[in-house]
Amino acid sequence: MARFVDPLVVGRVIGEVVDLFVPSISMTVAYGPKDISNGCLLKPSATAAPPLVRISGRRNDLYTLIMTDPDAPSPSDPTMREYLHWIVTNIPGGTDASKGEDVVEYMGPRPPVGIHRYVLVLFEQKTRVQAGAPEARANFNTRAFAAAHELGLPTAVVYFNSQKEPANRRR
Amino acid sequence: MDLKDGERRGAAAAGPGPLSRQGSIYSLTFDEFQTTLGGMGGGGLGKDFGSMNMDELLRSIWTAEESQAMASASASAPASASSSSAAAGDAAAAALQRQGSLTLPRTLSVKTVDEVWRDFVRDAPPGAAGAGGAEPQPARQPTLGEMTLEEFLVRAGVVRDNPAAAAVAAAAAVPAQPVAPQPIQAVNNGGASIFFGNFGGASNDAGASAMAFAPVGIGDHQAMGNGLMPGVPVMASAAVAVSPIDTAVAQLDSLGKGNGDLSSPMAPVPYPFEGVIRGRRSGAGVEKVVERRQRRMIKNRESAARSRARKQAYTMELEAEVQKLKEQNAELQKKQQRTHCETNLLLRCIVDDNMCEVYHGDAESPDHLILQCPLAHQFWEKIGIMPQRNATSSSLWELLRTARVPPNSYLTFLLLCDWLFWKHQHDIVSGKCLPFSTFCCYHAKKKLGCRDAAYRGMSKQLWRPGRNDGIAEKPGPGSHQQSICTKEALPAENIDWSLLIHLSKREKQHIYSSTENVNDRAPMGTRYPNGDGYEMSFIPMMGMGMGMAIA
Repeated sequence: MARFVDPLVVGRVIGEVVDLFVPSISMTVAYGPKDISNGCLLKPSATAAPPLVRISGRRNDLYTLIMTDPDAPSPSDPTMREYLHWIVTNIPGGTDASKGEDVVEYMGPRPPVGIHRYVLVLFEQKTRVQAGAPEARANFNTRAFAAAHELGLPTAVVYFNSQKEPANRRR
Repeated sequence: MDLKDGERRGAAAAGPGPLSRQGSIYSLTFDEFQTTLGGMGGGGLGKDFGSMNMDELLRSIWTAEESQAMASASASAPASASSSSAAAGDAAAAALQRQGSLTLPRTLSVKTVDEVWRDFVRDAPPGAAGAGGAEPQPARQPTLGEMTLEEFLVRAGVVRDNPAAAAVAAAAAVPAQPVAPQPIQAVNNGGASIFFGNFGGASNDAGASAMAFAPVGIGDHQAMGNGLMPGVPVMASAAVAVSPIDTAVAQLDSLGKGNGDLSSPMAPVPYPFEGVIRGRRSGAGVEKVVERRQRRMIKNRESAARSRARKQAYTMELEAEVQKLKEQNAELQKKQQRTHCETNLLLRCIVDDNMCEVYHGDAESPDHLILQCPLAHQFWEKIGIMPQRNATSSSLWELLRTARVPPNSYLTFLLLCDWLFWKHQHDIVSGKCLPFSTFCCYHAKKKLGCRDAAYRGMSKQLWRPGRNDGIAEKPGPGSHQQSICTKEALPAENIDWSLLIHLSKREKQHIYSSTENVNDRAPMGTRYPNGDGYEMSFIPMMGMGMGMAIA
């Protein structure tokens, strides 16, 4: 059920975004018909609309989903780490993210320079959360957010890569 | 003089002529040189070498060289860049002027390379060479060693890109201070009095590369330990160390000429050198350029590391996925093989062929047994469920529900129908009845009907504990399973079966209604075996389905 955690370590998602955790919930992220696997490369145009994020877990438990970009604006100089793309809270277990409450609207990846990682982190909530949206998307901190809302360690993480699509050159 | 010079390089052992060295800074020992420089304070340089940056060092050497040798800057670049023998042959006129730059200090030329190297290592700071020891200039070495690891790596990396260049670096590193700037001087004799004033042609390449090697020669002890020393083992004196420089310069020269422009990918000059040359032209300090180059290279390396990590992470993910699917597949195949169809029996050598015994002609696989057999198909259609012709047993749970079946227990209903049909097939094969699909529909009705009373009691007991309508026996207090086991219609040990029936209590009604519609004839005079081994043998087969239905 639980996903394999090693790709997250090698991809430095564990370390730069979240701490080491043991996956306890299975989360599938699908842009379009296909589920994405950790570390795959997606085009920004294919990820403009929010993905279908299905989670397992009990119906009575509530979950929070956060999507951030730890490589903004450039992977070699991530001065805006992490750039916030999405927050959904109060997702009932066994459903998908559309059943939760959007705290921060989904914003599709638009990497300006380099190949960015986009990390979707799922936390289990202890109670119902009334989270306010942070003032800015830039310099968001997943760990701090989790600490502020008593979310603890993540229960599932999926990440993918995205790179700016080359502009159409016409001569 | 020049003849002597060339001869010394060729023989690699001859003692240097004392007179020829008098005017050159290269005849000074390092200490002398340093004090000389400090004394005349070339451009306000009161500091020692360790605290200078490369630019300052070179500039000061240049001024020192100029003031000491009084050589005019008229020697042509090709002559100075050509190999030593050629220089000996054709540049007699330039010899006197250049001798200052090409002669070597006595201290170096009378030693073997091994000796020089040993001295060098002994003098090196412990951090860089790992050998502390008697240090003649304790103040200087640590400051030279202040070069950060990053700078060191970058510079070493530059050198490693070009084998010829590496050899030069190794050679230049032996007589640390005096020889390193030498190629620059030789090359720039052809130019104006400032460094790299001339950017056209090959002398540029050579100058740029020599420029880049120089820092390595000073700070890079490890470059020599890098397998480069064995490459020049015959250097009996430091004088010979000059010739690789010359050949390297000549090589750069010819290639540079052949390509015509510096940015050509064929040029042996690694990419970052371009930046040096351009930066120099803009008049910015060497340090700034070197720094920028270093930053770019470090970034490049980081990016490469990231790229590798990305690839590795993705590969790991896919491998894990493959492993998971393999296990799942093996599991499913094992389950598939548990079904006692003819195909699996044939695999275990229990039967001779795997023909379906109801409709001969097709192989009896689990899929065939449950859904694809014409009889099975007919049965499902009569109930009102239309399976596809090629439906597989795993798609049993995806069969479309008819409106008459309540959605909650639909899976249980399917399972029950499946079970009845399977029993009927068993009867056909064992010769108890003829194939007739309404038969099992009838029995579905009959069996469930005759047990209805008993189950009504049981279900009431289950759902409304404490109430007994008198039809069923009074169940014992405690688990309902116990009460089921006492009923005569059920085998005592068959708890799964009782659960199945219990869960399907709502489907009973439906089976009535659905069988009412079909042409419901009496069975062919055979008694249906009740509660015997058939049921028992069926349970393990549908075990996995049961699990799904109940969960």
